[in-house]
Amino acid sequence: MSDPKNYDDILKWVEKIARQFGADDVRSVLQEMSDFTLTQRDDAVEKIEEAIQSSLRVEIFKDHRYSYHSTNDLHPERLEKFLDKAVAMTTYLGEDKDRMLPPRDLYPSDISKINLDLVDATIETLSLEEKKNMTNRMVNRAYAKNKALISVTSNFYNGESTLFMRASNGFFGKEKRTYVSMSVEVSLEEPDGRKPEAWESISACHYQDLWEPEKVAENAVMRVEQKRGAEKISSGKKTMVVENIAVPRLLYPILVAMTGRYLAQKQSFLDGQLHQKVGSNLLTVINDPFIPRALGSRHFDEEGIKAQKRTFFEEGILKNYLIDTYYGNKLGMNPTSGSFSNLILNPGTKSPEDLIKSIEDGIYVTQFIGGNFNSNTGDFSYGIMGHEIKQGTLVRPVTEMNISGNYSTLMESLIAVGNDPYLFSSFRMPTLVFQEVDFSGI
Amino acid sequence: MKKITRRDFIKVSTTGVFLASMPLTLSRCMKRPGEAAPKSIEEYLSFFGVDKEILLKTLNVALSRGGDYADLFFEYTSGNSVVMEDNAVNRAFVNTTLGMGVRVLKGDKTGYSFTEDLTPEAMLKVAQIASKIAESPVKQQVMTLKEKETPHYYPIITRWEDVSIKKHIQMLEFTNNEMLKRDSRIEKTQLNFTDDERLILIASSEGVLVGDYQPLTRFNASCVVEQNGRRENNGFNLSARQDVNWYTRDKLMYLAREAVKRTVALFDAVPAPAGEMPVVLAAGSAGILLHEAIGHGMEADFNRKGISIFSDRINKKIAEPFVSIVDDGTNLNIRGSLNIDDEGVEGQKTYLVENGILRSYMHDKISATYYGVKPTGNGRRESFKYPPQPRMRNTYMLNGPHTFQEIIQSTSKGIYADQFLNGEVHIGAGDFTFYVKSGYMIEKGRLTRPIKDINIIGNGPDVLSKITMVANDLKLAEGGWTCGKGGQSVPVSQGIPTCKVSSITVGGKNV
Repeated sequence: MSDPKNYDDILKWVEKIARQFGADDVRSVLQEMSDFTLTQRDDAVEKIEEAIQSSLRVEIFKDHRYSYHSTNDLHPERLEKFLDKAVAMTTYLGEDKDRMLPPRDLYPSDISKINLDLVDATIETLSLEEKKNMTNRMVNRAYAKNKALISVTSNFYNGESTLFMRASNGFFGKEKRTYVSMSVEVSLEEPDGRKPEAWESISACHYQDLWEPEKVAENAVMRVEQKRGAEKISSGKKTMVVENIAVPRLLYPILVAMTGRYLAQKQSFLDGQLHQKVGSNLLTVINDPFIPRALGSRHFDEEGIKAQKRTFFEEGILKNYLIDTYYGNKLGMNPTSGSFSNLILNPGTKSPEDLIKSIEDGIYVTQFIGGNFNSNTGDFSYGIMGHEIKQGTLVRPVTEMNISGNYSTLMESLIAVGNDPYLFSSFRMPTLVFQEVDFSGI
Repeated sequence: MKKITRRDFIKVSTTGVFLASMPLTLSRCMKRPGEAAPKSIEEYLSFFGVDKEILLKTLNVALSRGGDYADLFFEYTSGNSVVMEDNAVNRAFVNTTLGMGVRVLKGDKTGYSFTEDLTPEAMLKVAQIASKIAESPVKQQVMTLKEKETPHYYPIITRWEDVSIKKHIQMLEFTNNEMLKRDSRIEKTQLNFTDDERLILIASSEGVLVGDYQPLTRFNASCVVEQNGRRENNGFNLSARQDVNWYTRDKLMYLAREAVKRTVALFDAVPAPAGEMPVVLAAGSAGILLHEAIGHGMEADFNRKGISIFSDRINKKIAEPFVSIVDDGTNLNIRGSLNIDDEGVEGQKTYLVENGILRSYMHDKISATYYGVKPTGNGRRESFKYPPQPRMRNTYMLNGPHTFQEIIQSTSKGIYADQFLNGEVHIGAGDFTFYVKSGYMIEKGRLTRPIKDINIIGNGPDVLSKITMVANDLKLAEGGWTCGKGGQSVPVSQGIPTCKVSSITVGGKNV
């Protein structure tokens, strides 16, 4: 390890040493990250955080036994002892013939052929003064929009991550990406002493893809103003419109139930549902890892398996599970990748405003708070915040409400999809409308 | 990706977050045989390979641009997670981290940087980065560091580093067998054993030099049971700042019994009703209500900024006189206990509510200075990668004047909430939730049919004012709870006696 920055050499060395200690196969990942965060509260800088960090993860495969080790201590002498003990520990574990590296033909052949444009070199040229200028512009615009705000906190973050992966059966991959985000959090005080808060946060790989700071602030102020005077309303079955930014929290459990682990452990309500109709015709969801500049884009996954565009749901039919090599072996299925990249739900043609106009009695959910789900049954219960809809109009903000239901029913009750996918997330979801949802209030 | 948020949450620690290291990880500790942990400050200094001279030099570089205060936080963590799935102990996760952070304060401004390289050059470099938060001609010099005595709230006999993985496998297999013996309908079991050691050393510009050794363990057991084509999954877990000797045969049998019992009970559950109704909270982990309804709102950073619903309510009545709530770092071997916090302040017990009156916020260094009070030992951080912030430890309600029987009998229709998974709060508005995995209906003063999977939502001050009965059976949570705030997770615990909230919104079904 003469050159500590030559990560391929480090990973080769890790693999060689682990094999010398008795490992059959090794997968190792080195990741280096740099982060900078500037936080401004009202008119003054509140916090500056800046650091570089690195980590090494090593997976040991020995005699069909498996263990996973991580450390940030890359000193060669200590690392050698670390690997010695990692391999020794693995021998004590139970044999598991399903545990292995992915077949070689699942690795990407030439990563360089696909340019995902995930690195913006201009970000590191931004000076501290320029970043301060952005946090200042966010604070100033927030107070300009509403002088009654009691607190405004703005935040600028940028980071860079470089990941190197090596698998002993023939894979080396490198994925570098930059991140940049701006966010604003604002608070108001109500006559009764409640201090509703709201925030807006946008993230991207490229600086140019962010909004102007003023727009971020204006959205945060709009959100908090919409919370003023929130009331409890009565329980009942109503139409639910879910704002695009709130959709990921509602849909994420469906992805959990699609993973190999949940299926193999008999903890999934989607067990046995492959190629079955499980949702409405409007439910078409694509996993696309190749969108340039998108936050979830990638050339390969956590196992080195090459990225592939896949359909998860097509007009309500479940087309693919999320299967990694291990659980694929357990389930007798081909690996499709155990994780998702960018998720796209086919957008509709109507704007959120037009969708709301068509609803007589409903709730526009802008935020979920707490709650959980039962992966076996698909039952869920979440707290919500948002607005009551009457005759196509938002009439008042609501508070202290829950929704309850079952994901199987919910997927079938999707009756409309907006034209507004949210692009600052790997969940690129539009506004969704569900019918006959159980709301509990007073 | 980092983003600001005040959607603070608590959840039962899940598998996959590996906290601890093991016998087979690289030990850096300069310990002698038979010692449970470093005993002297010299041993901590030696462990991290530093001396007072370089600490003073680094602190003075940190203050070189006129900072008011600086501290250095050294941390080593070593953790293991050993998993049993499909009746085989077939995977283990091991993690070690080492690093140090430098914090500089100027008023309520923070400069922070950290390094994973503990050479003098690297430490001085991050001290320079952190120093930039200040630009003042008034500079102070730190001349001495003095060792500080610490209390001992988590005495243990055996370090986790000295426990063989064979012992872990033995405990996992024993517990798994105990589970399988209890019900033939069990289709799958999953068990996850974690142990964790954390060594910290803190040096501050106020001359404080202090170290601490913090053990932590958690054992989670869950199962999937099938009955008439229907499956249910549930489990139970135990967690404490304990060593391997804590896991007696009886304790492992108790873990297995509870995991199976709580899963099987779900088959009898009926849909819970929807709407506002009385909710009786079972003694124990129902203290999640306190964590969400008042705990986060009493963390002083939110109050210093005037954005908590509890801002400006100190010394005001917020609950009935029989309601007293504390946040306590001094409970013996409990998950959230701390000999010292991550700013070097000794563990202590803080009254948040005393006889219905709001008494004290939970402070870190910044907020204590702001309010002109002593720190309460609540300055905590997830790791050396983060500056500290006010956080809870073990938050619980003291015993009240009623009995369990009186509370149940007084309730003609409501629910009894028994097992919880997670919660969340919006601190400014005070709205909070917690998720009830299992419980019972209360009908005509009796516990009747089981219920499951319901979210409960309320408003902190409103719910506190509606606590109408508190029993005399205080119990602390047995399981492992982890609190998230500002992107940082820390281990906590909570507790409560059986208590009754006269009205709160239950997320059941409309019938």
